[in-house]
Amino acid sequence: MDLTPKQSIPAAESTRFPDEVLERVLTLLKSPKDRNAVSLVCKDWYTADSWSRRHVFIGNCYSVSPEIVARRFPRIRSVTLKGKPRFSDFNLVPDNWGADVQSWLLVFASGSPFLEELRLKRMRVTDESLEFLALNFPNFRALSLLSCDGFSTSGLATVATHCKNLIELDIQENGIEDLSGEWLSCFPDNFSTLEVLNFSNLITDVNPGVLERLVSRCRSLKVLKLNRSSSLDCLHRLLTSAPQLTELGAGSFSQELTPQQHAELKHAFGFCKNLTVLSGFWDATALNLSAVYPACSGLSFLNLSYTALQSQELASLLPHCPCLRRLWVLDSVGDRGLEAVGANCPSLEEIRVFPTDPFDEDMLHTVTESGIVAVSQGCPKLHYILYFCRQMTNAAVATVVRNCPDFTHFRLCIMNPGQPDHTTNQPMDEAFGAVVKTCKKLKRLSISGLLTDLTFKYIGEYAKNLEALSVAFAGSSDLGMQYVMEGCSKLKKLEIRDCPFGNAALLSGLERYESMRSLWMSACNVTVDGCKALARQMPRLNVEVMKEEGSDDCKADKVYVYRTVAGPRRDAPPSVLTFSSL
Amino acid sequence: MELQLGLALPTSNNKSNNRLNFGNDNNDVGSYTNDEVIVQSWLPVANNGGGTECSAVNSRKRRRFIESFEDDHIPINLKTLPLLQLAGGSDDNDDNCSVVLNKIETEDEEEGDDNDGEGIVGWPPISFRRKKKKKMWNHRDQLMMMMIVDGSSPSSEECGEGPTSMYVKVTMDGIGIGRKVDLAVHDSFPSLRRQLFAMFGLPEENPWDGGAGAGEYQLTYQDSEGDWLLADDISWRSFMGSVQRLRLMRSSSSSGSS
Repeated sequence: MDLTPKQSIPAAESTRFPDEVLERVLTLLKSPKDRNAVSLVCKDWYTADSWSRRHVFIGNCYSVSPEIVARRFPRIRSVTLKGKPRFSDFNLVPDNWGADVQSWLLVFASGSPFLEELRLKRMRVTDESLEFLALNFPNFRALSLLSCDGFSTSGLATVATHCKNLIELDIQENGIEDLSGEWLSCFPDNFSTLEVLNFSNLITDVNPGVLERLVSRCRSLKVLKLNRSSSLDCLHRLLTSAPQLTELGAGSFSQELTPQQHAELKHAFGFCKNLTVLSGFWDATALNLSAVYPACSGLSFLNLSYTALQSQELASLLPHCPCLRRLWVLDSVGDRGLEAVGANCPSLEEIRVFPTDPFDEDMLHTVTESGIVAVSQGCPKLHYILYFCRQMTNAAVATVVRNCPDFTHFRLCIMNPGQPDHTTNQPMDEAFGAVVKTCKKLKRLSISGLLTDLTFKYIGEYAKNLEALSVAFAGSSDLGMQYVMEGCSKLKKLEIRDCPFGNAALLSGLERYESMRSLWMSACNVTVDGCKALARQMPRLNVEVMKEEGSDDCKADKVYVYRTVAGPRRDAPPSVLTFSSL
Repeated sequence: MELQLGLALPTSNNKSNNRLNFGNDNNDVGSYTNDEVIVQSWLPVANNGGGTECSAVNSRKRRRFIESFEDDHIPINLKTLPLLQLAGGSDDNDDNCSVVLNKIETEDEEEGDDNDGEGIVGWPPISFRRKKKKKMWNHRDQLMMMMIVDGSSPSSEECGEGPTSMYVKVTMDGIGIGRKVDLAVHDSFPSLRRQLFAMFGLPEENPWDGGAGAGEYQLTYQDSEGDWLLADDISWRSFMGSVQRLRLMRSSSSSGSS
């Protein structure tokens, strides 16, 4: 690898910035978008950016190879990598699809051994990789694994044992093989640098004594997220020794407390003046929740999506959280609970309502269109919504966006596929039409319900800032997808399942795919020939087809298309066909 | 100014070098023109540290790929493509672009789930991990409920607050009083059976193989969906994942999963 490009630049042009000054200035630019813009100005700036870039974000690990990254950015300290298509979260992607981090670690170990931070999402990470990481990067300090799989708690143990400077260990929502809580005991006795510890994903118990000693040693600990098996007694002790926490994930909240214990817990929460984020609270009872009130005055993000609160419990809690900006709840709170949100949270910017029981169609206590309208009436700053419901109307959605025209993320999931407006029996086209016409800043949209091509016509015509679109069980013909491909010039990610879009629709995006991160189409009408045609015309795309067992040879059951400078990948399993015109 | 950025933009109209040799040792590879579309089912490359040789070969070939990129075949009306960006800008889930460390936004869950026999795979879009966690915890809660209902006052060890206890109720046909057994101390059915033998005072020589009907009793279990199944029909791991309670059924009265 050529490590001295600077010497090739002609020296002594008095009008030029010295490289060192330029690099120094560039280090003040953090945003990847700004950095990318800088690198396009001229060759000198490209070089300066390459040498001074410390963090790189790679949205699709197959869009580039580790060698290219290491060659371009010889001094990176922090890497964010995303792997599998998002629909792998819904079991639509084969387990062995790929996105293994090991090849990246190997390259970085030889070229950038000063790597400090690694953040992975939907990647495959084995225990061997974790061990390799722990042993080969002496400055390593921050590991974040979100929705990854392939590792076990043994891998965590090696990280805890060997990473002497670890400040962050963030394990979320992973397919982890949870063997024991012993990993926590692997931090050395004198280890005290931790600032972020999140093991809320893990099931097995950790030793409370070990945890408490670790927390009291780590005076800089800011983020602590416990798992469900952590008791309230343990929490009480932890809060007492770490009142400086800014983010807390409580463990189980169901334990019966004596009045004395309750008072002590409440007292301990009262010391935590810096808390801005609260989560966890599995199985919280109303009484126990009241112990949390003293800590809520500065709260900006409350995640109650693991505990099925009733409307009254939420209504009692919210008045204590006047600064709330983000709220995640289960639909057990009902429309009444959402009315309480509208009444108590004037600063609310984001709300996510998850289903308590996604498959129980007889659920009576869920949320309806009234709930979402109530929130929009009380929270004019709302710009992010994720809403799972069983019924919706066009009028309600139109009201919501009239109340809150600043939506950037609008994700509505009507859980019964293809369900119309339940009062008029019409398609939900006008609902999403209202969204795209009113919300000029819309970046992300997920649509559901009974939808015809008209919805897509609206999207293509009005959603000019749209970057991500998720579609399921919608549309009438190829035209639907064509409208979007032609109209949404800023589109980056498109995910489609179970829609009547065929080869013509797929090929209508020819001019769009190279400016997008990826396209996913499953259970549509695309054929293998269509995929070949796409690959033939667009050499810089990888067109992957995942076949399902027993399907026709000509059908392309699942299609994943993404731009890449690394060519077709070599690690695909036999069930994934890669089409390339190389 | 021409920028030699080493990325995938064409550096020149390289009409002659339309062909590319691509691939590694494990695949049979020929050379391809832009007109051919090759179905490549890449064999998984052995995941070993011998990537160095591979990567040298790859980078050589990759360079040729870049050089030989032929823009003649691109439709004329295609706009100049934006330079492919390695850093994709704001994470779709991360509203806080300005956060220096670019934390991956937590819980981008909207969806996904495994098909529990509920019709459509992956619908509603709830992360299967979110749902699986709930299931596993429901199981554990049920265990605790059973123990409380049982009348005994569970010590913290029994409640499973120790590292890995997993107590389930066991009843045996013909014996009025049920017992509890900690499954976590066992790793196989024979081991479990030995303890159950001892518990219920069955003589060791009882030819109880628990399945084929040669013994007097069969080990059955109730799974998380409430069905009673033969313990021998599945692996130990699956058993551990779904067992709620056990019953030793007399062979003459059992009919499999009644």
